[in-house]
Amino acid sequence: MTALEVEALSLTRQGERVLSDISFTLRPGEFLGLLGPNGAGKTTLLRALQGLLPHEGRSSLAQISAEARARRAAFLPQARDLAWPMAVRDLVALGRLPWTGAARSDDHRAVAAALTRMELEALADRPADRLSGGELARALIARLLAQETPLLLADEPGAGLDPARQISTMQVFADLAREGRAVVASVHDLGLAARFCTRVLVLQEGRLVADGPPAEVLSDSLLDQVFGLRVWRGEAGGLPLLAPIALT
Amino acid sequence: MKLTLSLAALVALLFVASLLIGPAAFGPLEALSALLRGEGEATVLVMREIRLPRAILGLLTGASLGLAGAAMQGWLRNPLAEPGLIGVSPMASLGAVLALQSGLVAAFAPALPLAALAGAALAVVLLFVLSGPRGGTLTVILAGVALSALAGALMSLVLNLSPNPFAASEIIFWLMGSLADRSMEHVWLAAPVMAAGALALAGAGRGLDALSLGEDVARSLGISPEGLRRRVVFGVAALAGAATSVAGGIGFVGLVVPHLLRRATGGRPSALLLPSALGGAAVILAADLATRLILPERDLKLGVLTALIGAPFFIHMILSLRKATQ
Repeated sequence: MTALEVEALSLTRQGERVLSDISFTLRPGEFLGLLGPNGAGKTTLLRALQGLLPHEGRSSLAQISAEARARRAAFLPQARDLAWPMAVRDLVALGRLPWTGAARSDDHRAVAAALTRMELEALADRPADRLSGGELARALIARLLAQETPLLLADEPGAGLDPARQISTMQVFADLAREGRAVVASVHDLGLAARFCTRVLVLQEGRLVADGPPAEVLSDSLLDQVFGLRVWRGEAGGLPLLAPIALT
Repeated sequence: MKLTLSLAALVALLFVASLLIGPAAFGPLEALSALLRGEGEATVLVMREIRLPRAILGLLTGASLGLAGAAMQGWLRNPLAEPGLIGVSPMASLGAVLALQSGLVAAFAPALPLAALAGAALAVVLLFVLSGPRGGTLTVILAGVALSALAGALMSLVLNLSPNPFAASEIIFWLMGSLADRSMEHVWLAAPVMAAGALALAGAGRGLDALSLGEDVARSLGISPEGLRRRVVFGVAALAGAATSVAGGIGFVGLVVPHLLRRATGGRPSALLLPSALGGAAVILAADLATRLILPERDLKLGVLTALIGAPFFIHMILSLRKATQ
């Protein structure tokens, strides 16, 4: 059983090839980190594979109805966008919209669980316009979790979060993957990707240049070739550490 | 829920007050007995033919504008949006102006609201044609601006070519907006159109809530922005078009009421729809009562009063928004 199948996905925008021939299959239990420099096509790929952008090739998610997709995959875009100052609890509850017909107790449980996972219980009744940027970012991630889909797609979920919250957020995604869900997240922090992702997919100029476990993929030569970076490597508590130290 | 019930009680109170207050001097008991039991010939005539349609139209027009405003703000994700933005009200006004100018109204009284409704219907068709099948909010608004400009230009032309000052003043007074001298015919014409609009918007709540998080997230929550656009444009057009057809130009209600009630309803667009409809009804019923109590001998127009209250409030909203974004 697969969570997502992407075959030969390509996308051209105003005559320019933005994504070229991307193929991969994701299974439940995998936490896939989408890596690549700015402009490599991470956001475009996340949007295209849901059918939000016209594309060539095939994505299993883009082929199903909008209603079925909403119960299969939840999406957190890069922009921390909320139009109205609703309470955090109501914002998180928006994740339950696809589950029309679900028991009210199920909705309450899912919202409460998402608030707990993101450590937002104390802020549940606070209007969103009285949250800090980081708190709003966490509330929006909780909204993603409340959708309770087998697949989660997140575009830079750590953006705007302090270092401790970045780690706890990656931990939440890793836990969800361990519980049998599948997660795809674009990540800029190579160290966090190396530590938490079970697999990374590296994009460069719209092409897939590497796909595999971080320990195998994030070699010195690849980081030099894709990012122009030299890194320091270490280990703490059995987990790999990786920190950029210089431009090559 | 508490807010909705309080607003419903306020609307009921104002509705009864609207039935009881007027230039004809008779007591409340006499008025209600005439209305409900048909006792007293002259009083029955005043109550059933003048005050009842006026109160019903106040309620329906206000509710329509409040509901349309809440939906419009939710759809455009903008607290300064209002139903007039899609150009349906000016096109409805143009229909009414043509009916007045051509003398159709003199021959057949319901010609005015009917022509206004036809103007609104034409506006909806033009909006969809101009904005295309997948047009976003910006295209719809631009189409609305174009329709408003066209309707404004044609109304100016009609006034310009008006055969005498009396015809011109009749048009100008109609455009100011009023609920005076309306009949049950107006109610029967407008109510079904308003009901269709309200029904369309009642089903838009989920989509508007999802849209709070942006279009991409709304799609990922299973909402079709194209379907939502059709629903909102049709619903707002039906409500605003029908309101204009029976009451003329009444501004600011659709802008101010949802804005005032937003925080009290928790900020979710779906939770704002019903309270905003009730709030709009309360404002119009109260403003219409005020036109009867302030300068009763000078026929103060309802649209003039709502603009006089609404415009300073709008300026206050802009200043608050400016402060919030600084």
